[in-house]
Amino acid sequence: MANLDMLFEQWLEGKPLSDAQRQQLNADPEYAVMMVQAQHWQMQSREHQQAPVPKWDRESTLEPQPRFSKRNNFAAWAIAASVVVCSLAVLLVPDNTRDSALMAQLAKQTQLLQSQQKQIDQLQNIITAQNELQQQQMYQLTKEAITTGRVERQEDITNLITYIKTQRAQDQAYLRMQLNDLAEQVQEQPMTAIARN
Amino acid sequence: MFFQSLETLIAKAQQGNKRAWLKLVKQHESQVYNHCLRMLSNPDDAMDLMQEVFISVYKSLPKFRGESSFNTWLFQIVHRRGVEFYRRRKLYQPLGEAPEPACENSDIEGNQLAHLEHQQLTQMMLSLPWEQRLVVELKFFQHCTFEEIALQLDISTNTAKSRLYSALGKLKVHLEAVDG
Repeated sequence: MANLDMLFEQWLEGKPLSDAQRQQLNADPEYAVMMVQAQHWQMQSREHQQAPVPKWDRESTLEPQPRFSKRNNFAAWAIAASVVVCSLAVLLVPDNTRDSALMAQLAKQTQLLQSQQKQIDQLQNIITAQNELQQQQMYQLTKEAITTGRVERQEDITNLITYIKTQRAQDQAYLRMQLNDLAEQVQEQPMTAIARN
Repeated sequence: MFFQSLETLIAKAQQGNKRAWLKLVKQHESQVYNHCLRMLSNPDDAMDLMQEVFISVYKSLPKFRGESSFNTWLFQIVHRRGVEFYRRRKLYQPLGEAPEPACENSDIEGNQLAHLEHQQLTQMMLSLPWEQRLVVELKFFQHCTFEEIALQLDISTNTAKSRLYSALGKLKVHLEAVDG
């Protein structure tokens, strides 16, 4: 049986069989039937014509770029701008200005720095909120994936049970048929052929 | 350079080259579409699934390291998306009620013959459960070996064989029903 299985597998894989091996397979009712079915599929495959692909938008498969990096860039720009302003404040103040003008300038720069710092804080808050949101979404996604996995496993088990039940029903039907055949054969035998106890 | 190797196209697409990606899609779309069509027996569903597949492939492309062939990797994605699609669709429409695809060819005789063959193939495929249909598709239409089937579906070769043998058994029942 294992030999027949190997031969049938070889034949399915397209490896050539000798006439004797082929006859061996054909002699077995189970494998002979399977060979016929496989040949039917092979014929369907040979005669099958490839359908042309209808027109479609191939660019729809391209994913939009994530926006979230832009926000980070904005934060970086804000920090860079504040550094530039501070540098300007230090470098461009003329040495010969009066104290009061200098003080006013410094006050302005300090205010500007403070407002910049506020903006940076706000941006940091936005980024933190964004991260939290992402974590929540990840959590939700993971939860959904676990639930889906569970449902799939349940479906698989149900399918397996259904399959086993069908197989059992088919086996029983086959046995019933064989028993009926035997009963018919016994009935058709002449009385002399039936053993008398 | 007019012709680029598959490896070059993949490398360029991984670097974000749009033209290379579109070329890669064009090279594989017929194979994927026809696989989807045979599995689902409905052109609209086949188109939807094909689009989902290529979106997934695009997203996963940076992870492709060339450990298996591109085709094997692509079809692993096709099978995963296919199962999801089939389960989603099964909730709304039983397979037996799937509409027949419309034929656009005007050649009546050839048309009818092709239509009949297509109908027979559709019925044979629809008579099988999804897993067995997939093995039949890979064995007879994509001419894969049992090892390749096992690799693509992430199952053992023995499981692949038993699925195919069960499918052959079911075909016997189907043909007996057709022949009366």
